[in-house]
Amino acid sequence: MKFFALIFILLGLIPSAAAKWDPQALDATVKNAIDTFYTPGMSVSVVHQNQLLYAKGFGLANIAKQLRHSTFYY
Amino acid sequence: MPTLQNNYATQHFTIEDLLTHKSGLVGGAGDSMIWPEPSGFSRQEVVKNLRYLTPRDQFRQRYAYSNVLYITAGEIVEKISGKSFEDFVDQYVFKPLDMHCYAGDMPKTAVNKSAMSYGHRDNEGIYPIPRNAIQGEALMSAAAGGMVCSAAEMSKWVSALLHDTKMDDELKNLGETSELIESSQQLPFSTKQLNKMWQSYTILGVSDTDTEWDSTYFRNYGLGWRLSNYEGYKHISHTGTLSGYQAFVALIPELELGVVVLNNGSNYGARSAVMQTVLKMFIDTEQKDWVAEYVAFQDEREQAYLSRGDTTPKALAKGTLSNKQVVGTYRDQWFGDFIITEQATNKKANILRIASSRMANLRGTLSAFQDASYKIEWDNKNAASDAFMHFELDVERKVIAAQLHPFSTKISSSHEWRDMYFLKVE
Repeated sequence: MKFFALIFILLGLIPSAAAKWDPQALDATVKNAIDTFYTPGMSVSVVHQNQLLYAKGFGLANIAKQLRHSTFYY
Repeated sequence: MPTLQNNYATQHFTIEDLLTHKSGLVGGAGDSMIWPEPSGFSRQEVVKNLRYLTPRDQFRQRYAYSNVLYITAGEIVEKISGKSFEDFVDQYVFKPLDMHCYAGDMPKTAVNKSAMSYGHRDNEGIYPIPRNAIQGEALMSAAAGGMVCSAAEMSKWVSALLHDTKMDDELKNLGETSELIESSQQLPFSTKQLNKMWQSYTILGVSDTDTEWDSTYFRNYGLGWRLSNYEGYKHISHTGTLSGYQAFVALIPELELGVVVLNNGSNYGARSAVMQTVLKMFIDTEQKDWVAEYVAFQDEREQAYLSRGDTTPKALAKGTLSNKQVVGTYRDQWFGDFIITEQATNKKANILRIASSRMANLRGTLSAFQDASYKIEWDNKNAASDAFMHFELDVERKVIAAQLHPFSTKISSSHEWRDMYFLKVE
């Protein structure tokens, strides 16, 4: 019985296969995407249930000026 | 409403037809009046010149994207409101939603913060595309895609769309009156119009990849939006693409989710991989390494493209015209002139130069290819693709006219030069 209980507890700790909101994972994906697809910079915003969940800039807005992507415009 | 070659289309054209891409025109028809920037055409001229564009399909037969009809829609806004398109967007969209975005002139501080546009070539690496860079002035093509905004500011627009959709659903469920709906809405237009905007007007194709990745079986175009079923949800999106800038906005109202991705590169893999990653985070479905998926997808597409074989034309005969015969002004009734001049070089032979009277970035070198055909190599490789210039001679071997065609062995009927016929005028 104890053995089974342990298995259930462990299963509970393992994240489900279903994906979930993970801003760190998104940061990593954006960095990977701009490197892989020769894109100097990117900005991303996510709105969920009336909340601004995420608004971030990555990489460079201008390579010559070394202007970072933060509050830049397109 | 615009005058088109198809009389039936001209008579029955509605405002909605401006936003649904099924006018019968070839996809991208008239884009040669917009790009490469800077455009030498006014918005009024773009609308007037629609009559010179030959339709390929019947009116409302099938989807073919049109930028010039968005510009036409912008002109209608101007005509009805009495305000310029820029002022209208400013007053009715940006101001009420407190969006620090620009459809026209920008303050210098905002220009200085804006991103430069970049492309990439394997042999050159990443290079800037200054002709498309944000200059802080209204673009002729603003209504087709000339808005300057950050992802965070754009999220206010996305929030308002989601807010009004939710409010409309909730109040309808409660059986509330339309007055109450109006008083709490955030958008500058009614929820009735919002619902209309997100219903299907035009059928779009679905690829096997759409089905495999997103369980998408249907894709449609609404009024200025793409619509699809995506993992069981209604997915509403649009991309924006200029050489050097890429945008992607997607909403899933049932999840109250909206995502904005903006970047200053030229490979759609970046925005697509990021968008997929975010959306799948909110859906009970398998998450993948979308960067790797798009790399594999693009490799496959490239292999398919390469397997079609080399379409670079190779000359099979000698040229038969002299520089003197070719030099002159060639006039098309709507696109204006191409002027060909002879230029001395430090080499033995002179070279031929060609320049458009209307599009400042259409300048290049002309070289004999074969018979009465020449090859145009544009100075700005990123701005336009090499083209054939086929000259027409009369019985006395005098050059009387010319037509352009993409520099390829494949004969195309839907290319950018198809509706132009240049008569030699001097």
